[in-house]
Amino acid sequence: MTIKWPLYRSIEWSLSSGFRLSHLLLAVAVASLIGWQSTNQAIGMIDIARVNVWDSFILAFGGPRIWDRSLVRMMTWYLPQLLFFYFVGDQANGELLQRGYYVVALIGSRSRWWIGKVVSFFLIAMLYTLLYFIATLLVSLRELPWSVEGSALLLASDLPSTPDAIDAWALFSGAYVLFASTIFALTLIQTLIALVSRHSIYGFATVSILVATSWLLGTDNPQIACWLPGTQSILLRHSPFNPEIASFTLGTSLLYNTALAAMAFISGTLYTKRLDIYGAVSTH
Amino acid sequence: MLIETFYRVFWNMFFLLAVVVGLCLVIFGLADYTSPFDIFLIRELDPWYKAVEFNTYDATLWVMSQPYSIFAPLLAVLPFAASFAEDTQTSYVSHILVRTSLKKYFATKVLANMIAGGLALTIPVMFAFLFSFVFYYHGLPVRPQDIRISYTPGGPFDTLYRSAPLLYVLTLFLRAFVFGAAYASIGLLVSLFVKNRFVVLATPLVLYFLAEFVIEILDIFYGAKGLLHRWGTFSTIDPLMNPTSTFFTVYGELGGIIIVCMIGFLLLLRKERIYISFLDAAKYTLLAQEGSTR
Repeated sequence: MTIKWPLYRSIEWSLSSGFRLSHLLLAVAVASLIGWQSTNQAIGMIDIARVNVWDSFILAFGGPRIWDRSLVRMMTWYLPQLLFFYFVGDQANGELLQRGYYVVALIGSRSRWWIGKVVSFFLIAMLYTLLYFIATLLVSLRELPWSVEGSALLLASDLPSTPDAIDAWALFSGAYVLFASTIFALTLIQTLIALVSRHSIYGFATVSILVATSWLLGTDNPQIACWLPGTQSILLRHSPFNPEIASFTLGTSLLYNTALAAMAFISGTLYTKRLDIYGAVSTH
Repeated sequence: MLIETFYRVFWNMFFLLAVVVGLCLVIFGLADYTSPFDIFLIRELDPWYKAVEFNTYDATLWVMSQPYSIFAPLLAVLPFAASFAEDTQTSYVSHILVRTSLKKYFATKVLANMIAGGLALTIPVMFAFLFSFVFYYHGLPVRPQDIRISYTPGGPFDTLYRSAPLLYVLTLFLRAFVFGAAYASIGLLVSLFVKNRFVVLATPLVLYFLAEFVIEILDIFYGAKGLLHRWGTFSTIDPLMNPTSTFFTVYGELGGIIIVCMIGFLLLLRKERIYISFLDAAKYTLLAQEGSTR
């Protein structure tokens, strides 16, 4: 008798087997520290009467600007991504190597297992980004007032351009979609490399190096910045905030990330169809 | 035992991979500094070109900065830090302990791991230095308008930078080697707790970033204005990261890491511990096989 789990069960399995309380606590701790740091920066940068919680938000999640090579400022943008790649880096490959031959058998097929993993990565990326944003905002709210008008820092003359219609919701949703879609697309690439090479560390190293070198290559290079994978999560390098890159809109970034994720998903589907779940070596 | 371990370390795909990735990172750094091609181009276009602006010593300093410094811990652990986790998982440890003592086995492993980690970081920098020695000018600019990086970089042995730059470059090799040895030891220490190869190899990089970030936060919290930040982990490998770092902050921190790891090895390494983890792995495999046959 063949037992097949419905798809929602394989997603549930992926989510529950990959969940670690320590990861959650670490993410919250780092998000709180980022919130605290950006709040202090915002207070130091702008008039105390005008500063609000979105100034802290933009400093925490805006990412490094096109001319910014500072490793210290790059860290608030890069560290959450690095932690995410670390948390999910071994979920698919580790499971396959340790207990693939009965997990895949229980789920029913390799494709179903892969789809379950992809959907769970999508959900984890969404939740992780939301957790980061909310934790940062809550910490900032302890010292800064709430505002619906958006960042005073963006509307001030500190930036090369003054974007129109950047209210609080637009800022939050824009940053959220960019960050979540970028880490999701890169996680699929990371997982695919890990599955093909049978070494999770190769996937982790590849995407970590890719994101950091994209930041370095894109700095002072507005012509190529929008084409580099990982740069899509940098809000302040997009056209509304940076007139030097004319065609780098939030829509193009979302399209880029979707294309990247689709390519990784299709390649993964084709690869996992013939995946050898019995010949895996136990060291990963 | 020692020869066999060294053979395992250096005749190993992971060591080669670490060196190749390190070379890619320093080539990126060299291209970022100014590629030799650009120098020829500038020389053609600009009659006032001063060769001294682009020199061997500045180039070596620059390649040890980003992106090499960002991923240095990853290069250090790749060659051999996960070997203990592998030995336990493949039951190699149970066979080797019949032939030698645990003390000898682990001492050899610690030594080989530190040398492998150190060399994985030093070889790419040596390559960058040799490359820049061939293509760039061998001298330092004196006039302030010709200086592109800094008059003195700060940090340990910075007085040598002006008086004996070649000797200063040798201290950079030493710095890369000690850094590699320290972070490779962290990887090996992690493998005493966790048998997952990915966790063993990725954790030192994550700790490196987290420690830098926390030190930066503490610096702001205490209003230390950079005094605490010079203890940051990035400053231990990147000579251009923090000019206020000193011999004590760099080698004190790296030495501290090595000492803590050694104490950890001494306290945690027990024969029973190894056999228990080995039995756990065996039990886990048996359970998995049982599950698959049901």
